[in-house]
Amino acid sequence: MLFSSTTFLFLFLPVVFLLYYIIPRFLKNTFLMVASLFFYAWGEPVFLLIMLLSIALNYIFALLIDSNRDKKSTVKWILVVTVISNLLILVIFKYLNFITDNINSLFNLNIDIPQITLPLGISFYTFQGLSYVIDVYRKDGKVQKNPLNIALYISLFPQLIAGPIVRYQTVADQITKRKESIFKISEGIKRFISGLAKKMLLANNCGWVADQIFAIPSTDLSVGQAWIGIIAYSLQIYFDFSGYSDMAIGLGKMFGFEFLENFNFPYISRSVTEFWRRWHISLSSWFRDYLYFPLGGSRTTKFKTYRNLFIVWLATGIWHGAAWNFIAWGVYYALFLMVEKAFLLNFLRKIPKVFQHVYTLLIVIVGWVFFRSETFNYGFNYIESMFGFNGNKLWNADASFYLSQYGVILLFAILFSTPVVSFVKGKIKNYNKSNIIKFIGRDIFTPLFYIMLFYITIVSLVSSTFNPFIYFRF
Amino acid sequence: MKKINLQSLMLFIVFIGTIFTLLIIHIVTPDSDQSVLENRKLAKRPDFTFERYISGEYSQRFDTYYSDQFPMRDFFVENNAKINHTVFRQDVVDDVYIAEDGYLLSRINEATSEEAHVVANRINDFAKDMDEIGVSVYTAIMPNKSTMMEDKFPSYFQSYGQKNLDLLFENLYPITNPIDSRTILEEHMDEENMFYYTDHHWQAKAAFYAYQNVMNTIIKKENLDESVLKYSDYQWEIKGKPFYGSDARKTAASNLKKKDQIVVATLKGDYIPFKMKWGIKSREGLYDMSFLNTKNVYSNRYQAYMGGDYALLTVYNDNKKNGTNVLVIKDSYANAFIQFLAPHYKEIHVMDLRHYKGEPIKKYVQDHNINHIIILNNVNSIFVTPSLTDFENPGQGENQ
Repeated sequence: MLFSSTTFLFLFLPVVFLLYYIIPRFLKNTFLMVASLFFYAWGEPVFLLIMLLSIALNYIFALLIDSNRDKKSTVKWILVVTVISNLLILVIFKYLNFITDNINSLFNLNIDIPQITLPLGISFYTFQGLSYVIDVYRKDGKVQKNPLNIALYISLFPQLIAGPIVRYQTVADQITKRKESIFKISEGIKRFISGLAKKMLLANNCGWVADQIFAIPSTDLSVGQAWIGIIAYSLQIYFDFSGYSDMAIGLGKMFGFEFLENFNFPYISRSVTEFWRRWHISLSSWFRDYLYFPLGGSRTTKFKTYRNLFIVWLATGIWHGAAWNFIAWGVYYALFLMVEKAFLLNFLRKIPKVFQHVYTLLIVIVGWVFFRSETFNYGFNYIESMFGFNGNKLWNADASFYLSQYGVILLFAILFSTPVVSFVKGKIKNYNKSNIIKFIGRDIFTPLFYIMLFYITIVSLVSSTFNPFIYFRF
Repeated sequence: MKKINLQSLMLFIVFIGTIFTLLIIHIVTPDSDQSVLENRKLAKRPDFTFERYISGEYSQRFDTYYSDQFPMRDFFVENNAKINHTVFRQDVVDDVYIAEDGYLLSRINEATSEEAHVVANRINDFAKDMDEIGVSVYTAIMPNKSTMMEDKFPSYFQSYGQKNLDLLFENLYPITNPIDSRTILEEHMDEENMFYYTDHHWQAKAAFYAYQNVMNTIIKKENLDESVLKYSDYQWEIKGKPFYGSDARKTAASNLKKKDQIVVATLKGDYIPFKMKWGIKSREGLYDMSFLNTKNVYSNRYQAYMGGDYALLTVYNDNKKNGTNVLVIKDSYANAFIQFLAPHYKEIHVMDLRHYKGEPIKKYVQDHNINHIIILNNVNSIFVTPSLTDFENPGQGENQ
């Protein structure tokens, strides 16, 4: 089920919310789990089985680890089997088609396997499952005797489909002990409204522009058009993804959970290293804690540090999708992170801030070109068009069209990809110490702003299925 | 933990209140079959079966049902259009440009010379074919609103009606007797009621000036003892409820500055009323006034002219018992035009090749003693609807 559907917002959410708060405490977790499974099964009921398999495996493995604590080598082996079986599920359902295609074309073979559809959210819940067993192994979180609690942890509907990847140690205690309150619910509501607005108003509109432009042969683009297209895509992916995280965090709060932040204004970063501390934080910290550090991290030889960086970002690329462009995108970041670690970071600190921003944005934006392009060829040509190497025009009517129709939205999107709101808030706080202004700001202006935003977003959400059928056209 | 403040309370009440209220309204309001605004059937609640659920079909259909039947859906759609226009400054919706002066103009895509060649050649071949049996063809391809108002389009959203029309006329042979009405219409473009603000059709007045142009050409060419009627020979009356046309339904009415009404033209003086017959039905007069006052806001009131499109219909003029017969092969632009042609002929046969499935045209022409043929389409439809010029295999058309 999509958060941005009327079914979710005006049927699932109110019903689940109401029932959650009227049933007794001891039923709440079970109810939330059942609701989550229903939520997951709404789109692809069959894939529920795979998620249940993943839940069962990890539940059992964690118990095994906990009961064999004294036998050091047995525990290690159980962990190895856990990791392998989790990854195996992921490989089969996400990468098998890609792998066989490449083997076939490399060795000129004809291995024929059926087309496997990617189960919803499998990359996310597999990582959550792993996080649980590893945290138990490391004694970062308690083992759960009650399978319902593990099912709830892995399937909890707010973060099930697109993160944030909640680590077990973060919510281990919240599963059994958490407090709900009107205050927390309304904080959650604010967060949810921001996320929904980001998705419906900014991401969808930017996405429309990007889709249009990326459908044109990349050699035919004017310079301006190419830039509008990739800027629109950069904004789309940010607002889509961070909007989803906002909604997840907000919904979590409505049911008493506290998840960690997933985005922190990545586009204001002054280095690629910083970008990855601000972008999809739950994924990069997952890789840091469960892959980079175990490999030795940076507290090892220089060679191994760079090797570790490479491995982690290769894995990050692969995680994003079963295609070469994602792998290249990961390696691309690995290279920049290595160069920054070697010397560039020191150099960057010495140049004016504006150049640090320009450098970072350029790397990130060029990275998105490969992320978005269907083929390498398309991506390379696109970048050439961005810099006018295809002998293409600087500007064309199409570029004017997108700017005239979506300029305001792009401007809003650029503005809100920076911490402008908290900046303004801070300024007002500094100037005004009076309690009246504070009261008006906090208790009148803020709620009215969110309510207005919510209504505008509903308007957009309900009419997104507007589909006029002009049968008497001619 | 902080105490409950006004902010929390307000947000809690409004948010939770809103989602519950809309849920309850959704449940208690009965489903409707049809969307007036979108002119389509709305999805109904799917029946639950286990198989449907497992395949994911049930949830998909339920989602469509739930949003299609959402309470006050039209209200949301209209407001969304308003927000896009006023806040996000969008003046293009789908393929429609919202001009400052209130005209909604749907863009005409640029046609290639090959496309023009294909369309023109079909007409060329048809005219040659008819020439063999001694029937002359007149090809009256009409400019539409977007063509006559092409300079209203902004540089970032260009329309190509003029160019497409030029291309077409270049490729038509003299035997097709091409008639270009752009110059005539241009002379009257500063008058009111030439084209609708909100619909893609022309108004009766523009059709009238085009008629003068077409009929003058025919009279000259055929040496007829006729003269075209004057504007003052008709009484022109604005009638019926406001008309929100096809372009308005794409942009939603909240973007409209102007609305339209249908103009009814009545020939002055005494004469036996024209009769139209289609299939086994017939009607006196060339209007179906019922369309002027239908309840539905987005009714296609242009259907008042002739009552809409028919595969085949014949207009009988008993004032001209010894007159000649004409066949008009046409799109809906002819519907407002034929009333002006009527006084000049004994019989006007009107054929819509999108729907006509009768005997071959050549045979029809011979069987009904047709003297002239007028091909009357507008510049947009003749390119986008191939069935309009499919003289060999009529009736294959999608009504697009």
